[in-house]
Amino acid sequence: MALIDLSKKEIHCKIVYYGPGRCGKTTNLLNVHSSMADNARGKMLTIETKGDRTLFFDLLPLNLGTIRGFNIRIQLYTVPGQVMYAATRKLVLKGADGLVFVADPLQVRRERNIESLEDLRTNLLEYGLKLEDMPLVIQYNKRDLVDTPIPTLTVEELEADLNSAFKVKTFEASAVTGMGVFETLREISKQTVRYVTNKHLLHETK
Amino acid sequence: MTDNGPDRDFHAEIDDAIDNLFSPQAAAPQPQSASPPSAKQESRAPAASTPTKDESLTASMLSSDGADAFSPFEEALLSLDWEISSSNIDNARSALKDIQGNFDVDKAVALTEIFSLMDRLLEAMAIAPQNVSTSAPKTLQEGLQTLRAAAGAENLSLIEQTLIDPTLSELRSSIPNIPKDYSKLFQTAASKTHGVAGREQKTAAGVKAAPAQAASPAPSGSEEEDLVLELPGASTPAKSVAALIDAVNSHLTILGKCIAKRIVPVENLFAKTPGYEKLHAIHTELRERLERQKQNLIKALGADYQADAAAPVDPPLGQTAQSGSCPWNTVTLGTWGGKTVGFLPDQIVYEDKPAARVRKCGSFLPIKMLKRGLFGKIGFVVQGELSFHDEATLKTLTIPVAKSSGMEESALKTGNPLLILFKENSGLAFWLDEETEQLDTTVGCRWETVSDPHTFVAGNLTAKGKTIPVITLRGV
Amino acid sequence: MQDFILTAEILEKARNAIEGSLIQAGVRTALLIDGAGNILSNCGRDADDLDAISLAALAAANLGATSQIAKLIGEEDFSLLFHKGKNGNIHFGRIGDELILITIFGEDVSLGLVRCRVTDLSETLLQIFEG
Repeated sequence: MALIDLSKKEIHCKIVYYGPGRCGKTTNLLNVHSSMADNARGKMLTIETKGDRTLFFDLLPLNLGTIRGFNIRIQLYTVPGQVMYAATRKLVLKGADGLVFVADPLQVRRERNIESLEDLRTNLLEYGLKLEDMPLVIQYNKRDLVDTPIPTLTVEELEADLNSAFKVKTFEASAVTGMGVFETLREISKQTVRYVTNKHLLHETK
Repeated sequence: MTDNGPDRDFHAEIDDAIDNLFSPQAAAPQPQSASPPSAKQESRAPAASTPTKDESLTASMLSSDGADAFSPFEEALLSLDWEISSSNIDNARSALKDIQGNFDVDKAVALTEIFSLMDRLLEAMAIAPQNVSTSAPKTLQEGLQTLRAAAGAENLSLIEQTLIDPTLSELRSSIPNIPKDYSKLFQTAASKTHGVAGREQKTAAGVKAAPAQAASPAPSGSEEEDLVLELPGASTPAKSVAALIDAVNSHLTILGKCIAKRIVPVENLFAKTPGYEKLHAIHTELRERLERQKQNLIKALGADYQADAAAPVDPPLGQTAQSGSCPWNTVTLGTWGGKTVGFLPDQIVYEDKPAARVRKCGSFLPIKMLKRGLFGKIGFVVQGELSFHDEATLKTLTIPVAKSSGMEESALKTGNPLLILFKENSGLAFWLDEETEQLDTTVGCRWETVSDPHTFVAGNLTAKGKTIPVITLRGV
Repeated sequence: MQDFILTAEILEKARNAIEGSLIQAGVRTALLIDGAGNILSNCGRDADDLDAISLAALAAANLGATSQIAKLIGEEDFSLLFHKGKNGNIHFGRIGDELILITIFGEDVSLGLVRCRVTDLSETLLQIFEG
């Protein structure tokens, strides 16, 4: 749910990184945080819990600068990936304006990717939203593993599993090295800001 | 999301802005060198706040926006709903007094009982919250609603049956250790003592009712009439004012000594002992309350107050027999094993005919057997010193049963009343032959202290031609 | 869930309502947020020192979580959400289905007062935002 503050000329959008457990959602945010200029990024919020899994969510507020006099602020959220945290995942998804689906290329996680995307679709429907109508970008993460002996899925396989219906933009990435992280964020930011402004501002500001 | 015609410019603008923002970093990402941020890493979030007017903020705000005289009390109750703490209770009690002060005199008089019961309930919550029914905060809320309605009502008789009476009965049933029939208490008040709670009840209501009598010579409600007519002072017109002043003065002296020598040391001991925080709080509460009570009495006495009034001396132990007047003004008489014996009303924590199964317990009596019904609480049936202990403690308490040479256990009849004495963590139970009566020892009695510290008998009282041993737990 | 479009007029009204009630009563900060964690209004003497964005996100999540907990025990929602600290306390109140009013106050203000004010304010704010 976007928030548009006409008095301060601010637009707030919420982008949620979704995906199965341990696919690298939090790593994406950490990477964005560490490489962005101080004036553009806010304080990264992680809820400290034992272990390296996200139990609730991570939040990174960003300031994208001004477009036609409107200050664009984006809040990046991650959801907990593990299947059992379904309730929390749904909570974080509340009011999302844009989505990044982070896919795990490990052979053994193939089913998890498909399940997670289905879960995303179901949860959105419960908020009355259709996945097809939302700004969405898919990131094929962990491409750095391709050259290792660990069995991974090819981009074609991932494409067939996850993107055959949507045909949305996809990015190959390696969140640990930073490859593809910004490209993903840039694309989803554009789509999301367009989506929100199309809905509310365009016709008023012209 | 396809661009169409005029929107294209705007979209291009969005793309440019975002490209600009990301391009320097995208061109030269340095993720490896950057340490992952933790929650501690401080870079201030873009503050989405607007400057605040620098007003002087005061806590006094009651006269503004629609708050009425009831608001402070309502607020205090809402705080109590969350936490029963002494400060929340104090706030509620003072707010309640303010409400009473704001009422028309006539209505205030008619509602005296509600005010005093609500105050009693709050007081009980302060002293022994474990004994107060869990619905107490709700009952107080209902009391508040009734008071609100009463303030708005033209004639109180209109809401008497629908609101006032149900509220009164709810309040009565919420307050622990108080007989349901409030007015009866006053008829018996002069002659019978009900343990700590009962006595305070007398004082509290007496103080409340006295100004009511002055303010309105003929209160309308029948219950209020009882209240005024049955005041302890009014029911003993024979006693002169001077005698009463003497009694109060000596009472004050004893009270002062008790606080200094008994309560304060125990309170200090509890304060130093880990795990006794609750008992410490209870003791502190008790001391403060007694001190307040003392101040009230001193204030009421005014010029008649004597700081060093002669106090009846506790019978000292290990001394030779002393004769003179009895150290206690009232002694409870009972027949035990065929003999008449005396007990101190202060020490009696239980006197009733308990269920048949209690009779079979032999020489040790677990207190928990005394509770009534499946969901009853022990705290409801005991009084005096025991009522200050919490339920968990009471559950574990076992009291020895005194054996009399004149009575065998098998001779216990179903109708025998049970009397339990308790003082400073020691107790003793007695199966009496019949119910007790009170003896006024101020006239026609002779007292002889017994010096033997190994007996429960503190001394012998000679009255009506009989010698009555007075049993106390002092010498244990 | 609909998007919020805030006009200067709505915000001014909301701010006035909050300042006239809670801030007047002596609370430190009152933060009006939506269920997704967006900040609609931030008033009070400590407002500028606060990491309001984090607080709003956590508060929204906290309320979401507690409301799920409520459902697990067969409740619609909890009516009183309050955390007590040594010097500061925080109270969360729901304003309709979409909004949350967070009140931060010290020992000088009683919880009961805050609860009363939030209840009153809730109606006012609903009228402002729902017209």
